[in-house]
Amino acid sequence: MLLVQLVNFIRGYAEILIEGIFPERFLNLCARRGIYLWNVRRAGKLSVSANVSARGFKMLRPIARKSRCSVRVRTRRGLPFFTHKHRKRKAFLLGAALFGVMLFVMTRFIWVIEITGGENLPREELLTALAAAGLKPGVAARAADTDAIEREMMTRRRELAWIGITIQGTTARVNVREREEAPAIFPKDEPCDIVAATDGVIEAIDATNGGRQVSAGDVVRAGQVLISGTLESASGAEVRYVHADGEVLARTWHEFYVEIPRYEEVKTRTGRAKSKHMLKIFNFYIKFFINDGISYTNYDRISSVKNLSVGESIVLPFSFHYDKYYEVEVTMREAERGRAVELAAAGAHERVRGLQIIDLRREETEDGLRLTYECLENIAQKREITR
Amino acid sequence: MKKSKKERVTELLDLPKEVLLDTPKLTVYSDNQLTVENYGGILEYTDCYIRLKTAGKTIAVSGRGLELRAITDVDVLVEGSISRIDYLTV
Repeated sequence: MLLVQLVNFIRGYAEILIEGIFPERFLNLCARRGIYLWNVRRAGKLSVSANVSARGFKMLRPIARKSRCSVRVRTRRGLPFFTHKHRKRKAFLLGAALFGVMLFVMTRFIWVIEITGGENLPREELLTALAAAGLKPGVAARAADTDAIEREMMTRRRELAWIGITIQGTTARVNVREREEAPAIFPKDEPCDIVAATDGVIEAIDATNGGRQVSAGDVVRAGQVLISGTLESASGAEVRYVHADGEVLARTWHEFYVEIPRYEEVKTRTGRAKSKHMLKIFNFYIKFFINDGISYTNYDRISSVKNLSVGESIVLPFSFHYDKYYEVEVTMREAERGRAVELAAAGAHERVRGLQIIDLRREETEDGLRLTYECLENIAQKREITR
Repeated sequence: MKKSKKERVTELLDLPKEVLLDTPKLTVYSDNQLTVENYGGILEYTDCYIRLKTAGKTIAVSGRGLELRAITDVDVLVEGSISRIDYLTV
């Protein structure tokens, strides 16, 4: 219905009043001759109001005569009448035309680049890489060859596994997938030693290849050879190098110390606030304030940006920036201990994830928390033999 | 009642009746909108009573605040609070 109304508005229409003893005859004649009437309403005993298109209106006179009705125009609506009324206002018309042209031209360019996926890839770097490949705010949407840009990005950035670019209106949506590094595999035919990854006490050792150097109960240091790839013959005259392999289960200790702050900062708003407004056009800022600094020593800044856009994907390079500065008073308060301890413990726990925990010792002092995890883990690590 | 030749053909071919015959087709939404296709003309229009000529019987619509939202050569769209639709044999 909205579309119909829009079309009617663009074409122009008139609200008319049909007066006569038998207005039904008028309506029938209009229908017969293909004149579309809408919103026909009884206005009085002898009158009916209706809407008729500007083109249809010109054909009404003979119908009115035939049906013995009189037709009066109540109002004219729509674009043709509007422009007719304002045709002498050259600057206004020029402005309206310029607006249309500008809007059309503006929507031919890309103004926004949205990157999704690849959470660990720095956005700045991606944006500069995209800009080098030919996709940056301000390039013509038609000139941006997404396939070529995708290819170029893939060859330039090794860390990308996949990149997809779609252009919608003035927005370029970039979807990236990060490449997951394949784990370093030590070649099977290269000779190597098995060394300890961390300090620990050997619990069990299972050497599938190579010479065992330590046994259960031994204390080992990180880097110490556990299973040797260097094999000597019984006489000691001949040396053979093999690819040592096996699993070494050891008891390890992981110690974490977290400081617990005794005081914490508390910010309270004083009630005084200042706001600053800015208009951003392309990359230029127009400030709506005299350039005075914020005199508050401590403040919270809350910024909001409103982008001028048509729908969701046609974003124009104009935005309104609104910054609000709240003055705050910073006071120190005794920290809530329980919560701080919880937070510290959770952080430590995250770092021993995946290990088998046998024992946990907690030492809490005035200003810190020491957590010692005793774990069972495979400390076998391959290292090349330096001959 | 004896069926006409045209009527028998449409029934045989399973054609929609309003296409070949001039049978009026009424579409009613709740009690507030009525479309009459294949009407012959408006006989009477007031805001509480409308009579439409069709190939068969005359259709009379009673109600309150009746408006003709759209009138074209083949159909008419009535809006308002409709209380009854009658088929009159004159």
